[in-house]
Amino acid sequence: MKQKELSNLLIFIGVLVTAAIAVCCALIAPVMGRAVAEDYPDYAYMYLPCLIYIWMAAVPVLISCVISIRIFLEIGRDNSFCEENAARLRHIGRLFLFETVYLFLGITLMGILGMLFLTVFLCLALACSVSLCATIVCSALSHLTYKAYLLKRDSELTI
Amino acid sequence: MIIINLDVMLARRKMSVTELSEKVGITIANISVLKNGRAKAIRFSTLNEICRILGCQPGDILEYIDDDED
Repeated sequence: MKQKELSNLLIFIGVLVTAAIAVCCALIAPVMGRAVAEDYPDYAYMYLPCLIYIWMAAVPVLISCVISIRIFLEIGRDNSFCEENAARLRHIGRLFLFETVYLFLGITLMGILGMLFLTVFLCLALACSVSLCATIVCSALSHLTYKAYLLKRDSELTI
Repeated sequence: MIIINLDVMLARRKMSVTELSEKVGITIANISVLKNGRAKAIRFSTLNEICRILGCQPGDILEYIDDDED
C-alpha cells in the first residue's frame, strides 16, 4: 500500500471512529442511561451525573482522534518523522494519562458510593487499562518519532 | 567548530554555485546548506568531487576554529 493510500485510509478510519464516539456519547449513552434508570429506579438520580461523567471521559478521546487525523495528514505529505508529529503523539499520551487518572477516580468514587457493580467495575477497569496502554504506547512513539526526526534532519543536512 | 570556505575557493576559480553543483552532482540547495554552515556532515565522496572540481585540498575548504576563541 502506498503512503498516500495509507494516509487516506487512516484519515477515513480516524473520522469514522471520531463520529462513532460522538454518536455514542450524544445518542446511545443517554438512551441506555434512561433504560437503566427505568430498570433501577433506586439509582435513577445517578443518571445525569453518570451521563456527564461519560461525556467528560469522551472529550480527551475525541481530542486525541482529531490530533491523530493531523498526524495522518502529515503521513500523506511524506512528513511522518517531524517534530510536530512527535509533539502530537506526546499530547495524545498526556490526554490518555489524564483519561486513565479520570477513569481511576471514577472507579474509586463509585466504590465509595457503593455503586461499584461488577459490570460497571469491569467496564471502567478495562477502559482504564486500555487508556494506560495508550499512554505508554503514545509516549514511546513520541520519543521514537522525535529520534527519527533528528536522524532524518541530520541525513538531509549530510551533503 | 568547522567552517566551510567554499565562497573563497569559488571566487579563486571564478566558478559559480550553479556550475559547481552541476559538476559535482549535488543540488544548489545542498551547496547553499554547505556554504551557510548549516550542514551537519559531508560525505567523503562529495568532498572528493568538490576538491577535484575546484582543484584544491580539503584543508582549503575546511577550516577549524576553536569555539572558545569566539
